[in-house]
Amino acid sequence: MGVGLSIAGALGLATFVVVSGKPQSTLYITLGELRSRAAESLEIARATAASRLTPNFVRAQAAQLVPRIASLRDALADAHDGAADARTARPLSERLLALTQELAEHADTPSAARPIERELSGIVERLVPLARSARPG
Amino acid sequence: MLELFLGILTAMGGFVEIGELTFAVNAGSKFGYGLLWVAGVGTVGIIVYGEMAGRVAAVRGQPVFNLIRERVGFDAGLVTLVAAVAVNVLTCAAEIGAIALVWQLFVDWPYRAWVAVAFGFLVLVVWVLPFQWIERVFGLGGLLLVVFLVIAVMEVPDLGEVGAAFVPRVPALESTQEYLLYAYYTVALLSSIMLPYEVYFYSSGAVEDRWKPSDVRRNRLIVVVGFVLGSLLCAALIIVGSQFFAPRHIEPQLPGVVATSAAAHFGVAGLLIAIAGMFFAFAGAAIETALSAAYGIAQFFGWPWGRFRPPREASRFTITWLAVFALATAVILTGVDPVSVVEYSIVFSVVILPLTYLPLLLVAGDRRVMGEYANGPIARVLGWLYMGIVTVAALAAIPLLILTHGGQG
Repeated sequence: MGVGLSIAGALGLATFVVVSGKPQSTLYITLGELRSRAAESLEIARATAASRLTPNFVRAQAAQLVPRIASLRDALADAHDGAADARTARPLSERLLALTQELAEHADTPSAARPIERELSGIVERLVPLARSARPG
Repeated sequence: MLELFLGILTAMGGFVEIGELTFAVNAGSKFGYGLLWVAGVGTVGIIVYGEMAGRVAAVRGQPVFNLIRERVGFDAGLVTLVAAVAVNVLTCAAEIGAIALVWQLFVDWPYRAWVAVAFGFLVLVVWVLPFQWIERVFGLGGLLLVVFLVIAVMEVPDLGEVGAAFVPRVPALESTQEYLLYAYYTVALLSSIMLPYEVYFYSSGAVEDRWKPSDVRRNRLIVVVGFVLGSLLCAALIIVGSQFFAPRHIEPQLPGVVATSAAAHFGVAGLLIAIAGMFFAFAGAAIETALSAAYGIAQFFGWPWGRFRPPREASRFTITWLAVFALATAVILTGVDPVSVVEYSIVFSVVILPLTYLPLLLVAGDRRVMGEYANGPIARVLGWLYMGIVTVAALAAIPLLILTHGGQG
């Protein structure tokens, strides 16, 4: 009975912490995720430019990324720690969001994806060192 | 012979679900081959306990939750049951969400519409198809994920490094936070491979298939060969994470992103194969978790259960699995991210592993109950060794979840 109650207590505590806490309260996590989402958008644009994806896949996959990027942009807007990094990352997140939306709405052909690919590549190049330098230790 | 062959392939194809896909690829992307040894350790663990569960079911006709109530008593058993059902509902919710995400990649309907369709589809499949067909259709369909094994080979990993990475070791990392994250991934990956629902489902399935003591040898072959082949898929996903995604700075969360690695190697055909494989794997896992929850509840309270009975004869069991699908669908319709749900369900799963596996270990080793089929020296030593491992993992899981901000860093 004691073991069972311990399990129930541990699960309850963890649920409380997870639900009540803000998992993305640290900037380095937000920046790491932003870098990954940017790289994912870039990979989709690159594969679209090389005609390796179906148009529906491009639209749907980019549309699935959009709310995730939007929530990271919002987290950056709220970020107070590491203010300089957050300031640098904010416009990049805005542009990333716009480009991914463009992929989702009308860039499912190779010719439309190429300019997006080039711009996304630049964003990823800027986010990689930013995310790395923000990591603790 | 055909039965055995199909059983092995089904065990292999049913090995991967959304949690393992996410954790394995991310593990490779974050830590290279540094967590490959966990795939090896976890595979031996699920073989040890899967074999015991199948053997007890074949010899005694008793599935896991009968044993839990019998060995740990009603109160502790009830807490285990509640926790197991909660984890099963969460995992089922995540799989339903993942199915909807995957279907969206084929036809651009709204996500919530696909969630509703997935609910209807899963209920229909479980209602209409016989148990063996459910196992085989989704197990064999999940074999399409072998495309990731091919990609892992085509990415030309250093085989010496891959082999060495199966020896347990902690790599040199940059900070305390990274060591904590590594520990979190170790626990999560181990849990995703040794998920308790796999054992509930496997042992209940053995009873559904009316295994007898003469099936003990078949059970051993299916578990050993099927799970080893399944673990190759898990290892392949870690290698794909390390070789394909890490250099691109991607730590994928969405199944479609993982599928882009197949598109990079095989174009549209590879993409479609990967997505179809994911669908079968996720749908199979959704069905297994819903049925596992219903099996657990029915077995614990002594209700008639089993897909081999007409729904009218096992009405409470039938209502339970329908309710689990409905509850899981309701959870995912709230808009919660399926990837987050699966991460928490997997970490919570490890907490209940010791209480699931201990009764099984005690019964499988009891000569008065199992006679000549009781655990031999190898099963006994490995069983207690893994009991120690899962207990340590269970104690560490929640603190690590908190210290790593829900596994984010």
